[in-house]
Amino acid sequence: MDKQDAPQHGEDDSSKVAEASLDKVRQLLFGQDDRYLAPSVDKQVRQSVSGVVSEALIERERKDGSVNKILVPLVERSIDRSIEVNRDKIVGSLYPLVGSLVRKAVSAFLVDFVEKTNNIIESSFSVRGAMWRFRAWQAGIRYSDYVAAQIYQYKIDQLLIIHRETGTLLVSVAADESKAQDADLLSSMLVAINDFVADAITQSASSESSLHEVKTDAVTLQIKVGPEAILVAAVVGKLPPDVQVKLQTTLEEFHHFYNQPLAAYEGDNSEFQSAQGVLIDCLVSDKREAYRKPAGWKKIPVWLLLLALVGFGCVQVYQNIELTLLTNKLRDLDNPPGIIVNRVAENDGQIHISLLRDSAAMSATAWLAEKGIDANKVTISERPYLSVEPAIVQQKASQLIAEIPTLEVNLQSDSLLLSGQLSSQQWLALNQSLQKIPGIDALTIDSRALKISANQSLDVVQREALIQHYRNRITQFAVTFEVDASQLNATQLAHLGDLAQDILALQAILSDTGSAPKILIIGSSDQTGVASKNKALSAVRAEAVKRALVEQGVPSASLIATGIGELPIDNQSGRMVLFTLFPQSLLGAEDVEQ
Amino acid sequence: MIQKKICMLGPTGVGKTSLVKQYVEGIFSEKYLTSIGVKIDKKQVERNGSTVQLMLWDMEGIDRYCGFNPRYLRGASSFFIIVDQTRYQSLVEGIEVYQLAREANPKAHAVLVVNKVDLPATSHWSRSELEPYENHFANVFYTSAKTGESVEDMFEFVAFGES
Repeated sequence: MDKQDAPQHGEDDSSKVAEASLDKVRQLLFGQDDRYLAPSVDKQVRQSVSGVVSEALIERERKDGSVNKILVPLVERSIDRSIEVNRDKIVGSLYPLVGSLVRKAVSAFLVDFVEKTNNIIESSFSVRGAMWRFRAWQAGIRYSDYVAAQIYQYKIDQLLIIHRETGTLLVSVAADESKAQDADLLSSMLVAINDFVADAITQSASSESSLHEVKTDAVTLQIKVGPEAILVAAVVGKLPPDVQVKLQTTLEEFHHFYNQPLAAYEGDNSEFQSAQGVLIDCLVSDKREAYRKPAGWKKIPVWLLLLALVGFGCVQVYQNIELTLLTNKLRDLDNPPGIIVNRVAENDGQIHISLLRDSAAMSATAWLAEKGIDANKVTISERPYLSVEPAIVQQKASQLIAEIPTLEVNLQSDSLLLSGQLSSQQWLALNQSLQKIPGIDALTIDSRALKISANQSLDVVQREALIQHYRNRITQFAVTFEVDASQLNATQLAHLGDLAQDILALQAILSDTGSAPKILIIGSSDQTGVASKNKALSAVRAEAVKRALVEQGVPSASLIATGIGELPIDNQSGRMVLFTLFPQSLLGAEDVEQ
Repeated sequence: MIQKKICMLGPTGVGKTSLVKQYVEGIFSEKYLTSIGVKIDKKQVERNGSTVQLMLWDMEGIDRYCGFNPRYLRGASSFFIIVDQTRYQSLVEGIEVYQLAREANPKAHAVLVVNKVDLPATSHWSRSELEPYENHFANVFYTSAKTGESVEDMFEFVAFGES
């Protein structure tokens, strides 16, 4: 074993020597600890590794996944440390980016929300909703848009951008500078109030509450808070979501464009004045009138309709007034002879008159025309009646008399004066016709100037009828007196005139036969007083009547006056004068029997 | 225009509000002071053609029962520590307030204002008492809100850096 080991020992020693020699050479060439070699090798290695490091990392990650295991904790620690040290800087850098992302997300939510709200609004119904629907239709816009216009009436009066840390004003604009608040003091006070609120309600040091809205009765301050600056909008009304987003976007853009000046801000706000142009774009308002005004062509029919309604109303009022006046006028009219108005009434814009009319009276239409009333405006309901008014009786008698051309008539207020010539037959017929006129008794027909010629052709029947007519009239006549009176008054004398006419007419008829009628005039008295005196009084009354008849043209020989004294009837009826005829042949059968 | 936020700090009753009143004609009611602890006024100061606008944050008096809101000091360019020379205790309290304010805002210039110099100083008070603290302050002013002595100087100092 030793012999075998000896040469081996000799080889080991020689290799050690060689190794030592090489080290010396290496030290000479590369220096102590490769001092001369290391820089060149490091350079070479960096170049080699930099050429393959990406591929090598990918290959190693694929192979055993160790790259991620090493890098993830390292990166996490680095980010945590970086956020801890540069929190404000990172927030400032991320703000515009995160703002944009958040806005997109909020926009998507709002679109969905608005669509749902639209559906609710579209399906809702109330009186106000119905009015809004009508107005939206009138304005030619969607109902939901109209509702939004009603809700979101607003105006931004003033905009401020305030440095968040110092509370100093960076830039401001106002719609009306004369009405703008002192922006410098307002800025500082807002920041102070915000600090006060934050101090009062903030729970931890890492988070800080901020005001987003300050409301008063007149103005609302909308506050958008950024990392370096605060945007404040003084708003009248309520801002819609799109304007809210616009304000937020403006603040983000402000941070983006003025990043450097904001970071270096030490109280000089002159660099921010160029932002006024951007802010002015935000001084928006919505006065809502644009939605209210309907399109021009749609307004015309509305106005025409309104005018038509007003015109129609005026016409109706005018017609009603005219109708009332006309009705009152008709009610106040005096009835003409032969017409009696029963009722005047308004109904359905027409006047209705109910009246009674004698056929001899003028027509109702002529009567209205005479009074200046348009008959077309009046509906007339007419019923016939017989009038006994003197004018109508006169008219009817005149019409009958006018049929005999040889007669003339003179109309007086209460009498007809007849003159001319006619046969006894004509006179008989005329007299019969006149007696048929209702109310003729109130009219005196004076025939004394009438010449009645005998008419041979008058047959027996006609003659007897005529005699009977006059006999009845004479025997039915009576004159009454007051107590102890025998004088005749004017009325009695007038009636005795009629009686005288009848007696003369009867004499004319009887003259053909040669007989002369005698009229017995019988006076009487009541039963008061002395009977002898009463008898004398009755005779005096009979004589007075006889004298009156004689004065009216009756021959005295035809008249016999006598007094019979007291009549055994009631006292009032007893004071009278009666008439009867002689000879007896003139009396009818009944009278004879009596 | 340059704007500077200036805070007025100090113990109760040293004359902070009177100093501001002497300097500006305020528009806000002093109710703000008791409501939110601060009242703000502004004053423009001109010198050699340059204008600086001072936003004066007059803060409620500070005592052992009532501190101040450190947020009000954020971004302040300078703050005054105001003490009353008739009350030695106000100096002690003023220094405590200074230390609190310095924590809230390490960068702002601190200016010590000794007010009410129109009245006799307390027997304990001498200007040498201030020497230990003077190096903490950018300047020290002896003022009277009543007579207006040095009031403009102190504000011009914070506006332009020298009186």
